[in-house]
Amino acid sequence: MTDAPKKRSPPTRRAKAPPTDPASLPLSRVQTVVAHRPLSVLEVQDSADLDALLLDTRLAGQIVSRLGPTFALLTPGSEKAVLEALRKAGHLPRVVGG
Amino acid sequence: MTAGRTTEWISPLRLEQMADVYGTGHFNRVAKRYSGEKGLSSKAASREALVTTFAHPARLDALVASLHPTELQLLSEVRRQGGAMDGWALYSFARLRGLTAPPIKLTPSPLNLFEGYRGAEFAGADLLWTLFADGLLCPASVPNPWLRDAYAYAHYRPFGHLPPSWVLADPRLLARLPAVGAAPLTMTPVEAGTAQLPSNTQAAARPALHLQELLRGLRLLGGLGVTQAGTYNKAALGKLSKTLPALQDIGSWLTVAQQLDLVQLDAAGKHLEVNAERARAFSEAGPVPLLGRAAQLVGTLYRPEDQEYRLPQGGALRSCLAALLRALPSPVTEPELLRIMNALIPAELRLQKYDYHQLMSRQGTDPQAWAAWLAATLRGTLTEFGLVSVEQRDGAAVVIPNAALHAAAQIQPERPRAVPAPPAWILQPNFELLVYPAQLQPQQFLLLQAAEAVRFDPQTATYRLTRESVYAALEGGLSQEALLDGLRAGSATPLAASVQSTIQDWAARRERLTVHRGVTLLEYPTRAERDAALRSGGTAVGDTLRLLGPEQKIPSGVPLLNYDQAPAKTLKFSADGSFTVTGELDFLTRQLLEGRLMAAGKEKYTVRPASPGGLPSSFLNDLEARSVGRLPATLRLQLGVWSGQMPLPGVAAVTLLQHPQAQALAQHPALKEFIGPSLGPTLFTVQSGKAQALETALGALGLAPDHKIAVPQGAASDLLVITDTRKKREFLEEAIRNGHNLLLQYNEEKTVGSGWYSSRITAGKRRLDEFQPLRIDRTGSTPYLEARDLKTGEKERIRIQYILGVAIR
Repeated sequence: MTDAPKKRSPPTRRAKAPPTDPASLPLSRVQTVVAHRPLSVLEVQDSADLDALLLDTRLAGQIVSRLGPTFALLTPGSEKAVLEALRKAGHLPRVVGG
Repeated sequence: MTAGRTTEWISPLRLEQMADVYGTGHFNRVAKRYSGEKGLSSKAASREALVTTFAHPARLDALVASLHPTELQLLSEVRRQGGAMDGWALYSFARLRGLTAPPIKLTPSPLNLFEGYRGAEFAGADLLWTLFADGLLCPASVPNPWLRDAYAYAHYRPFGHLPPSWVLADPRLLARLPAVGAAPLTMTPVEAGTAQLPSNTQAAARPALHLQELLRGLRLLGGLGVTQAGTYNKAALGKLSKTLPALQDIGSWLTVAQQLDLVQLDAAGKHLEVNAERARAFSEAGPVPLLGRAAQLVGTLYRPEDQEYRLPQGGALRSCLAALLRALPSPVTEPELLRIMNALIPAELRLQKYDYHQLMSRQGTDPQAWAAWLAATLRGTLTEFGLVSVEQRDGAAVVIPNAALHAAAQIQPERPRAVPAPPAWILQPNFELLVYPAQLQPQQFLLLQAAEAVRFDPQTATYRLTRESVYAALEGGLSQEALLDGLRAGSATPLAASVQSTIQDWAARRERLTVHRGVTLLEYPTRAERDAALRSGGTAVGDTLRLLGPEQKIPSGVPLLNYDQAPAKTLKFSADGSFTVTGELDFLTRQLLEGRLMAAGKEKYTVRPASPGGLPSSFLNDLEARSVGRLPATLRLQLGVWSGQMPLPGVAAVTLLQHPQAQALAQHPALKEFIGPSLGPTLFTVQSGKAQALETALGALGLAPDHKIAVPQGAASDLLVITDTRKKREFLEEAIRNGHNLLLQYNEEKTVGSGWYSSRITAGKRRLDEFQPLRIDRTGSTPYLEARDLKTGEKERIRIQYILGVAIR
């Protein structure tokens, strides 16, 4: 008596590679207009200025992200440190609001 | 029988509301004097009698008719000052006119004023305290210089905004006084001729420039720290002195600015800041109103001369001196002034504080110190405040009282001159301004905020325009055009082209970078919607954001996310460092994670590795604030390194020297040049590349080494020994922050009796256990660690000084 041939199990599916598409990351934008306040933003006249500032280690640590070519979002509560770093670097920043 | 002119009262006194300050017996006495009623024996009845008296002018007129001539003179003087004035000025007023104290009925027992005080006994003190006794005058503070402490304990400051030496009268009584002029002086000086008095602006220019320079420095440094005791932080004061080299004795100018409310403590009471509103009012009003305030302040300040000559009553002496100078009709020589002051002021006030340090070398007090103090005060504080001028005439010093000595209410701004004003400064091509304070117009003071003072001289002041000072002025609201026009208009020389172009360049540089603080960003689903919304104003930022201007409001119906509050905890981390998103992410969280994430499975993500310092410095804290629970220890370390807050781990091949007496080997002259940092008493590193040389040297000593390292045995072998308690505490605080458990070797505290009623604490039994550190607290100034024993689960309180070794577990 021979054993019944074993049923061949279906080949195991190879696990999918983790998605790397940014669209699948949980950073989707808003569905309706939303106001965010209070935030602090650094604005430059020339985008090359912001490129240079992001290379400055004293300042880069206080920047959350670049919002556009000439705008950057500052970490909350870092305004004083940012102004000090800018002044030490020889800039004369204009301060608006606050 | 009412006053001929109406007065703007500054006295907030309402006598019937002062029952608590006076005490029952004293309050009854006051009510009897005012109402004429007898048999008042309770506060309620006395208050009722006072209310009735003030409601019926005829009763007040009866009181006025019964006033002693001295009482009438003193109350009339208080009325002339608006109902409240410095008590020492009033005292001097009475003494200069030879007024005698009104008779007062004394009971056989000592008079009970303000619940337990008696009148002071120095000459002339009864001129004031007799009026306190009947409620005709009320002190701003109890106790005060005119009262003597019997068995009193009560302390009152019913009018905290007034200096303690001030006195007040009820304005309803003052309004019923007849118009009475001041009695003639009985102490008259020998006149020293006439002199042209300097104008108010000229007199006020100097102190105004000093104060303005102080405010500029404080703005530049963002304020000044104060200690818990309320004194100025020494390091901060030093930094301010360095920033303002032209300003001598910054501490006393800070006190003046504080008294003038130009600077104030922040809400936490730890920082002195410029009061923007008051400073603006000060700048716009020009320097003249400052004079009246300065004249009132001289008695309340502790000035450098008081310290130098150790006169504890310096403030009172200055008040009396100012009152005397105000009363004098013409200039007076300094010796004559000293003679009158000697007669005016009781000797008790002129006594020097005993100096025990000088007891061995010379006398503890110097009887001539008072005269030296007077000379220094005339040339120091009073000249600096623009209250007097001191001139030399025929070998004698002549003191000329300025108009500023009169009360603030009587100082009027000078009318603009019909003729063109003379130039206020010379602007040189090297950016220096030689300023003539006497010729400054009020609006030109404001302009000098754009320059930093280099030096203040008696007749001139030197300023310099710098990039920082111009920038600060522009930030303060001065426009570039107003600055250039003002500099040009006030200067005796034309504005150099280089100066003008440089200022324009500085202003243009300011436009290149803008920091928007506390702004509102509107986020739209699409770029098209954002672009459509831009028609109603605002600035486009990126693809979908609109930055609202300071005056723009959020459109109605738009939901607002407030980032002042703690963020929602929408991230959940696993032990492997990956996380899931449990809710909707707010804008800041999305921006924080944008471009910094990697997928790590189905709906799981990890932070993408970054170079050291590649993440925002607050990334770890920001992420933890948005996560449920603490982040895994390894991820904390990774984020700490990536955000530049922690160093990279170090890996290197090293050679070790191990021996039970390794320290002895390390100190040997033939070996020590090869030895590197110590890892413990038995283990030393060998300097890179010196291993072979060390082996040769050991061989020469007959100690050829074997190449085995014994692994230390025992739980306590890797204990870190920190001898400094402060460093130990910092290490423990860091461990608490990072959530580490600790192996601690420590001594328990043991109480040892050392007498009938006393005991002391010493180091007791030595223990070695693993703990979860919870927090650091103190008993007095001794720091303790509160930790949970991991074996027993019990909380222990360990004295940090008694921790012998610590290792992270």
